[in-house]
Amino acid sequence: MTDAHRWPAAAPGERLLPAAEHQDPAERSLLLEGLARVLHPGILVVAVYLLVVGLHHPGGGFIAGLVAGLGLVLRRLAGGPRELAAASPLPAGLVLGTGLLLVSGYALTGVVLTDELLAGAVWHGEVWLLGPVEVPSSLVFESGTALVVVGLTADVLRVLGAGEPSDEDAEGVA
Amino acid sequence: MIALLTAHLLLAVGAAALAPRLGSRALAVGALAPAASFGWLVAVAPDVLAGRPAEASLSWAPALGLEVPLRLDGLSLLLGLVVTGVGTLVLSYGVRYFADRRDGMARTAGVLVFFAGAMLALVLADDVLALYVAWELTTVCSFLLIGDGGPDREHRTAAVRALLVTTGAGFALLAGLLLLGDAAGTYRLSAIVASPPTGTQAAAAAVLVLVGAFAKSAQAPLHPWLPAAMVAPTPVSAYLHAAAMVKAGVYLVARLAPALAEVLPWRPVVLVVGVVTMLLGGWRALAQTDLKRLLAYGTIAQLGFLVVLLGAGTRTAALAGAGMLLAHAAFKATLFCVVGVIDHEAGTRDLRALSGVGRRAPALAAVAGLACLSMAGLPPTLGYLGKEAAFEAFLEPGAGHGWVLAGIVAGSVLTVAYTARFLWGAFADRPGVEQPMAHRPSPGLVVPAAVLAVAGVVGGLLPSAVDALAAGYADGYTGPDHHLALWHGLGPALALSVLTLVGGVAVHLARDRVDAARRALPALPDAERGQDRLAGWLIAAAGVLTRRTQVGSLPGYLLAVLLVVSLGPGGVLLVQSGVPDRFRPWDVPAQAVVGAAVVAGAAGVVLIRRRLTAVLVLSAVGYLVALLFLVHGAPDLALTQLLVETLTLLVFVLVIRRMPAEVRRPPQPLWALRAVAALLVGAFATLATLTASARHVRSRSVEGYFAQAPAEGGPNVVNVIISEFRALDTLGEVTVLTIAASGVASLVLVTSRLRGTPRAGAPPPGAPREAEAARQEPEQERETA
Repeated sequence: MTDAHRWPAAAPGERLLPAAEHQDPAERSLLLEGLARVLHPGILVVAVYLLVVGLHHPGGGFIAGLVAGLGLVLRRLAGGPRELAAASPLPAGLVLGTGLLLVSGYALTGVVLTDELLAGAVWHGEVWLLGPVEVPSSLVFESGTALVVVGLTADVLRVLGAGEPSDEDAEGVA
Repeated sequence: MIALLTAHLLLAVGAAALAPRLGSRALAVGALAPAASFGWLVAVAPDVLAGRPAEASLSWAPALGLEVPLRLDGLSLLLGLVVTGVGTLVLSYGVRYFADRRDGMARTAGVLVFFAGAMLALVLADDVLALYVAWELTTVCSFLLIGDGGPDREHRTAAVRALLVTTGAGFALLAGLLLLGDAAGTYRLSAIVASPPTGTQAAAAAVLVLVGAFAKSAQAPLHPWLPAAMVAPTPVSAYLHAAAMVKAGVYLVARLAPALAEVLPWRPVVLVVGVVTMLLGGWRALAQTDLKRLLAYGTIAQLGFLVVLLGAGTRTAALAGAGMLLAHAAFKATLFCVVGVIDHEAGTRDLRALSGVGRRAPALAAVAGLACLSMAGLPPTLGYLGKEAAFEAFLEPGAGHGWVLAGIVAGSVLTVAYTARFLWGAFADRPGVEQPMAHRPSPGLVVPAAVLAVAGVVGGLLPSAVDALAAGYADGYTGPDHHLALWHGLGPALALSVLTLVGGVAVHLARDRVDAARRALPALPDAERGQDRLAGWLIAAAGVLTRRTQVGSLPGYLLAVLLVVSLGPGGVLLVQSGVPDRFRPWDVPAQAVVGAAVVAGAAGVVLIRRRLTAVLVLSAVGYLVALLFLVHGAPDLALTQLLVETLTLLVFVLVIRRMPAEVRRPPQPLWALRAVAALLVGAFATLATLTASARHVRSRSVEGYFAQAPAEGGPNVVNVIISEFRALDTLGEVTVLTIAASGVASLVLVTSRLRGTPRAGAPPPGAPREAEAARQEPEQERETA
């Protein structure tokens, strides 16, 4: 997982997607690649937005994770398995584990601090340019959930996308 | 109490962890737990015996009333002292016994200490379910220790046999305990004993509980697993199969006898089974040439004796039983340790091959002699106190007491005879047999045995202390105020003692004639072979059942699950609430339009043959449902549904690429079956939805959340519920999701690798993809290799 080929040298000025050119040229779609290139950063921003507004509007950790996961799907469809690896440089297991750690760590911290499982608190404050800001401690919890969902998506994509010729290349020596 | 149980658990882990470094000395570390418990028990004993039982409770899920209540009363104290005292000594004996052992020390040390804790929990538990859990834990420990890692067929067979008999009967016990708790209206043991249930249900419970207890304490005809278990190392045999675990059954009988002795089948069953076991065990013991098996059959006989005494339900019998229990724990553990020493030093346990051990190891012989005094019931030992009281108990008038007395006198004659056989077999000189013991046994092996043997004599010399301890249990009964004492004056009990001694010695002296008589008698039905055959059938039946039910067809499993769900809960739903009579077709007309589209889409999924198209239509149904949520005013749900649907669709497409483009129709009967199942599931789902939405009351469990949500975090109630109020649920779900993710990944990778590359033999050298994949998934590699 931690091998070098998981971080293909990405040089944004030269290519649309860092690893898309490993695909079979007959299967490439320039339109899709361009779309993925343009949309993916936006998708991530939306995901973070959804994560943050969760307590006030539709959103939250689960939905944020799904949106970010869909971003991965888009990259996978446009650029093949190698592109998926480039889009998610951390191993899926690590992402899943970090998410679970955040969620359960939040739960346990509540126990230690207030003797109540999953006790939460909200921090109110004033931030320059943004105005009044409200940060609930459950944001940690939501982020953990989001990470688990992203990790799950990446894992399923990696596994189910395996088995085709282009993928065999990706599994080989870089 | 909770701290002590936790200490056992921690030290079990600690002993296992230290075993690779310390070897058998890890057992000494583990022995700290039972030793501390023993000390605590001694410290609180005066309080408990004065009628103030110690109590503690471990809250598990207080809202559901689930807790593990612990209670130390007279009987628990008695058993607790045996379990912890013998445990400490046997573990320290094991330090020397296992000194040259290399493999599996961590397992043996960990499981032994854990077992001590489970046994302590068993005698302290005041809740029938907690007791059952501890009971099964001891069974599992016993399995692990007898099997000893499964080095050969004998160990494995013995371990499986013990497991099958004791857990099989354990199911009966569970059923019995549940019936008992139900009949009594409480699952607290102390409450059940305080106000015992009566009637048919209590009778059924009594029989079922007795089956479990009898299997655990090796009563006929469930006994054969015990001699077979003698393949285990001696400390294990001494602790599990002589002093502690087998007493779990006896403990249960003693615990419930005050409540159930008056329930009809209890007393006849207990007395008949106990006496038969005592006679059978004694008779079989006389035929053994392996000293350990001799002791094992002796244990069976003694356990029968204990069941008779503690199950009889009179004060004197209970007093005798309590005394006998202490005596048996002390002398039997001693004798097992002695046999272990002989086996360890002489390399054999066969009494035909042993000669001159008594002269070579006089200290060992003295220790064994003291224990044998107690086993044969001679003064001034614990065994004598118990046996005199036992005779006394059945000299009292009572139904069937005459033949029970005759039975236990005959059994005691056999006990004296096999005691003599043991001493003669282990220590006598045999002309013509080479002396097998090269050197004297080390003190580390003899001292723990000596402590136990001396304890048996000291107990006999301090009858008032033992009497107080035994009375702590026996005073639960009303009856003649009998006391354990060395001298009761000339009377029938003393005469019977003399009779048993003379008879037993005579049987031993005439052993050649007894052996000839045994050979002349028709062989008793062999319970051992019967049990083996039963075990064979059971395993074969399990195999057949597994092959029939686990056919490996996903549609088959799905069909079974769906049918059960729609018929089971569906049937209950139909019977209990029926079809709701009033329902609105829709709230807003848009719902009707979307609903019609959903129905059309669902029909399309069924009819379309092209897989990819069908999946797309299926997703359309999902999107339409999201639209329905939106129409209903639930944007959160709609958003989630939308995203999940998209993700599922894409994953579906990834999978479907590898499948045939068109759906193949199954053969006609299967097709019809699937159609029926689909209709049933559809009907069930419709009924469930209608019933659920026919409730126009606000859900009580959610109502409070609406009021609290703004204070807790934000106005979005759905998300506040997910991340605040029901965050524990979310935590569980997220954990399941993680497990599912790694599970799916492993399964897919395993199967694709199995399909893709030939697995026979090692991968060709220099195959980079193989090496790479192997490094990535070491677990799958191991499974497929």
